[in-house]
Amino acid sequence: MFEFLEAAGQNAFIRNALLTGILASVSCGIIGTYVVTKRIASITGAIAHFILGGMGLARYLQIVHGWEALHPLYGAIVSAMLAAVIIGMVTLRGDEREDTIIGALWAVGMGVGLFFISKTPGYNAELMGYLFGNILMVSGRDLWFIAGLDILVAGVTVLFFNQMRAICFDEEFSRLRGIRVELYYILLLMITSLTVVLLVTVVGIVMVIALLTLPAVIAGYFTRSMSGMMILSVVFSVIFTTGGLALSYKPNLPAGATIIILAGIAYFAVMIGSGVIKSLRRRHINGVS
Amino acid sequence: MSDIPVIEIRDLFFSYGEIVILENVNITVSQGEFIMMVGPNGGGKTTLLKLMLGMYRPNRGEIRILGGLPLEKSNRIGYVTQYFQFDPRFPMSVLDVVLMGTLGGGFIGFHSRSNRDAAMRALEEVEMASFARSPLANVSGGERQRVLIARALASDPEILLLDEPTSNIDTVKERDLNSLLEKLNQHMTIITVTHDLGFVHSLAQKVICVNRQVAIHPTGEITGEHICELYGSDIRWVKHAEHHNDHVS
Repeated sequence: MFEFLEAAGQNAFIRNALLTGILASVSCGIIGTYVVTKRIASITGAIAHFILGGMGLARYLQIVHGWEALHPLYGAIVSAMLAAVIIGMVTLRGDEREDTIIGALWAVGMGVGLFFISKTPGYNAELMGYLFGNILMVSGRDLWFIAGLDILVAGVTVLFFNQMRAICFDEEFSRLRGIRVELYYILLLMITSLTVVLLVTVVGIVMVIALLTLPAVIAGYFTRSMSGMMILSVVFSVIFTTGGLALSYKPNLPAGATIIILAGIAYFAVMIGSGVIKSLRRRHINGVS
Repeated sequence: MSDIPVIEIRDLFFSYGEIVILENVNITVSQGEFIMMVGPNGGGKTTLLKLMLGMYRPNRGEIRILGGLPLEKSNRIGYVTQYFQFDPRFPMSVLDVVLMGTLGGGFIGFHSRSNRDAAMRALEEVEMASFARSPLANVSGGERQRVLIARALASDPEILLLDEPTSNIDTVKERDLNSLLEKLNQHMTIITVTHDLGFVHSLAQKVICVNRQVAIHPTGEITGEHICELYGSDIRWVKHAEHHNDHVS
C-alpha cells in the first residue's frame, strides 16, 4: 500500500487512474441504485456489450480510413444511446420479449465489434483494452469527460428523483398519476448507457455489469432509503476502485479484474454475514420465547 | 347520498386482438355506493377496472367517469394496485410511498409542503401515521395494504378502486380492512375487485359478476346459483364460522 501511495505521488497516470475510479464511482453509485431497484442489470449488460460494435467501427474508420476525429469513445456513446432507445422502445411497447432483444443486442454488438477490430491493425491490444478496461491509460481529457458525466447524472437524478423512483417502484401507478413513464424510462436508460461507457474505461465491457450492481446491492443491506443507498453505493464503489488499484499495483495484476474480485468478495461476505446475523436473531427470539 | 352517476359504462366491448374479454357491459354506479366486482380469474374484472382508470381504451362503447373521459378524471380516482406489483423490499419509507400519490404530470417533481400534509392526512386516515418514517420493508402485509390505500387517498379522490385487496392478508386483517373501507365509504364511492367470494360482505350494495359479460345483483340476492352461473361450474363454499362445508351445486 505504501509503495502504491508513493507511486501515486510520483506518477501522473496513477493519479489519473485513482481520480478516474473516484469520479466514476459517483455515476456508478447513483445509476447502480436504479439498476438494482428497477432490476435492469441484464439490460445494462446488453448495452455494455453492444457498444463494442460502436467502438470497433469508430476505431476502424479512424485507423483504416483516416477519420482522425472519430475517437472510439464517440462510437461507444452513439451505440450506447442507440441500444438504450431500442431496448426502451421494445420494453415499453411489449411487442417483443425483453430477454430476446437483450440477447440479440448483446451478441450482435460483440459480433460487429469483433468484425471491425479484426480488420484494424493493432487487433489484440485494442480488444483487451475494450473488454477488460484500461484505467491506467486514462488521459486528462478523459477525466474532464468523466467529471462532466457525473454532473449530468447527478443533475438528472436530483431533478427527476421522485419520478424515477416512482417508475422504479410501480410503473403502472406512476402512469396513472400522469407521470410520463416512457420519457423517464428512456431517460434513465440513456444516463445508464453513458455511465456504462464511462465504466468501460475502468473495468471493461465484460465486467461493467458487476460494478453497476455489486456496490448498490451491498449498500441495500445497510440502508432502507433510495438516496441513502445511492450515497453508500458511491462510497463502496470508491473503496472497490481505489482498493482494487492499490492491490493490483505491486504484483502487477489487471486493475479492472482486481476491482471486480474485491467487490465480489465484499458482496458474498455481506450476504453471508447478513444471513448469519438473521439466523442468530431468529434463534435468540425462539430461545427467549 | 345523491343519485348522480359517478361511473357510467354503456355497451362496452373490449378485446385483446381476437380474444374477446368483455362484451355488452352496461354499468351505472351512483355516488357513495360500495360495489364488489367478482368473477373467475381471466373473467375480465381487472380489465374492467383498468378501463375505468383509462389505462385501456374500449373497442366500442363509452365510459364516463364523473361526467368525463377516464383519463381526464384520473386525478379524482384513487387506485389501490395489486399487492404483487412491486418489490416489498424496495428502499423507501412509508411516507415516500404515500407521497407517490401526490405526484402529477409535471416535468420536474419535488414534494411540496402541501403534498407532505396530504400524505400525512392519508396516513392518519388509515391509522398508519406513526409508521410514516418506517421503511416499507419493515411493515407487515396488512399494514402495507393500508399504506397502498393511503397512497390512493393522498390525491383526495372521489372514487376508490381496489384490485384484490385481500389477496395477501389473513382473516383478522381482512376484518380490519373491512372496517377501514366502511369508514372511507362514508365520503367516497368504492369499487373492489376480488376473486375471494368470502370478501363479499355486508357493506357492498351491489355485486357485479364479471365473466366476459356482467350481471349486477343487490348483495342480498346473491345465491349459489348466481355463483355457479358466473364460474361455469360447481364451487366449494366454505363457511368458516360454522366449521362445515357446503357444496353449492
